[in-house]
Amino acid sequence: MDLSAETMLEDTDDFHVSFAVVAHLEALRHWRKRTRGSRVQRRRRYAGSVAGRQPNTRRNFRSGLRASLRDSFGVTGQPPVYDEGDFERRFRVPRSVFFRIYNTVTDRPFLAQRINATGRLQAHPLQKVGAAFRVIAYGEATDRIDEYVRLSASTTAMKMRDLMRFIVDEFGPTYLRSPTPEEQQRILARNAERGLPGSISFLDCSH
Amino acid sequence: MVMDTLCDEYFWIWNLFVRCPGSHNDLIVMHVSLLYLSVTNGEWPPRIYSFTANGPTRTLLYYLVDGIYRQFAFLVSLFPNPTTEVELTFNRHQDALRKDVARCCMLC
Repeated sequence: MDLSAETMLEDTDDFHVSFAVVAHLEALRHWRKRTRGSRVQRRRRYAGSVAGRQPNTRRNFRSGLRASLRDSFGVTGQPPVYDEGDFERRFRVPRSVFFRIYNTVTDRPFLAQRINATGRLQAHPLQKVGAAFRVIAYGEATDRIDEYVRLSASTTAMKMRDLMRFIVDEFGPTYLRSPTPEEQQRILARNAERGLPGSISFLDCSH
Repeated sequence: MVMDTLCDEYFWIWNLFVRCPGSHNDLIVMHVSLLYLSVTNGEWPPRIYSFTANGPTRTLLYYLVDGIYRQFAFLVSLFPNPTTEVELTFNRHQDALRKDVARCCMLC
């Protein structure tokens, strides 16, 4: 049996099939046109270091790591320069939360420390996580991180996106969910005790 | 950062809706948030719980909000100009409970 589009179009007995085929072909054509015209197609793929192009900036990742360790985490037995309050203000999370996320994420391939083609060690995961947290906490430009932890703006932006996706995937189902029936009962009972029976929780929006 | 938060007494955030600064105003952020969609679709809140207030027993649970939201059945806001004793008392209780989410927003 010939299943080509022309045969099906000629087959006048089965209008449903021919209509479906025409619609499908139209959709395919439309989709191809859209893909060609879209920005995704025209955008250059990120290529990293390419032979024959301008050399990388001499960033010295280790100095960035050392600065970050000295300031916020403590290194060689010394306590960190800035205390808990400063840490919490700059990263918007307490140290415990920061390290919980860091320990979860540190072995993942998108954040692990790499060795590049010239045999040099690339940035440490701590730098990348710290940089991503600072960008999120202050809403600051990714370029600003370059001076502090020695990561390029594009690296910081990429790692921040990866980290945020990871956090949403990893912790979202655990914490950002609907209450279970027991929790729902508890909340209802507590709110009734406080004077407003039937209120689930409180809604607010801030800017 | 535009943030739509839903949380309880223990700062457990049940729902969070975050968008770019300036992209949504107070009304729009409600209408595009997943919470609103799930309520209007009837997925949430569950109608298995009931409570009695002023006589009739109701099954639609509600959220406490401040005055800027629109008047939906599942949102309970303050009386705008309280005059009677009942209204004043209600506003006081409502404010006291809603302080939880205000504290949560300060923490974030």
